[in-house]
Amino acid sequence: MSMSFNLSGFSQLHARLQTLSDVEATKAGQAAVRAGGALLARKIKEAAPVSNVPEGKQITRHNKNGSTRMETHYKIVNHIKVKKIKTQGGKVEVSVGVVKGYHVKFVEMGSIHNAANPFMKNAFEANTQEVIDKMGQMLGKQLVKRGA
Amino acid sequence: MIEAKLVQRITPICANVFPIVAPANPPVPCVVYQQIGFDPTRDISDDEQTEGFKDFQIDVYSTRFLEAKQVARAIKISLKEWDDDDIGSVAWTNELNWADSTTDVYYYRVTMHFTFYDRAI
Repeated sequence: MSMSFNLSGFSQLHARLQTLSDVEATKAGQAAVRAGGALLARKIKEAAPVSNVPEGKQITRHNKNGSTRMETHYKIVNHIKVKKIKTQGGKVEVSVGVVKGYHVKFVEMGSIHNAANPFMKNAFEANTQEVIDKMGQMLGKQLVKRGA
Repeated sequence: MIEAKLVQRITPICANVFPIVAPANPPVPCVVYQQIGFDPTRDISDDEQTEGFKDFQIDVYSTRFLEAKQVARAIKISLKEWDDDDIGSVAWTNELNWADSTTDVYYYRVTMHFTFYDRAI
């Protein structure tokens, strides 16, 4: 899938960011990526399929040796979270994903007998520009707040 | 139609090729393909969309991990070399090695994502 997005204005934001100390610049960046991550999480939640299997139900899973195990069913829409990632070298990152729910990868990418439903991929691609714009807006606000 | 050409290209590598899902108790190794995205090109002088990028997910299943990997690698090489009047470009964009434990039989699985530029949609 081709993806294009508009980053105009970011070079000016970057120049203002460099006038801050490392600590303040990092805090501003973290707020911006958190805002973008939260928006993306909302979009993924809107796109996520919802089954009629209730949260907490015990489901039988197959093991490699032919045995089975019981697992708790977690509904995808209830467990889409934004998590901060530890990074080095001045980077700020968050991950947006499903934190509980063994079956989510089989929903997203299907299984041998079930079609793929790439709701996360589609949500990401359909909302990339909006997420970038959100991050730019939040970064701008954080820079004003910090006097840059 | 890209699907017919895709099957034509994969079948010499793996004869068991299925669209979307495999049948019950499939012969292995087997390949399952599915279109998962589409981005038509937009020409300001022509409203009709005749070309575009198509995303495909291609899965190789086997009860033996190395067999799945070998088949996947051969498919990847074949598709990356694909160049004809209908397919403008092929990009291999992702690969995941994992397992499918959704059935009584445990399958090793190689999932690959490709983006094709299709000139004949």
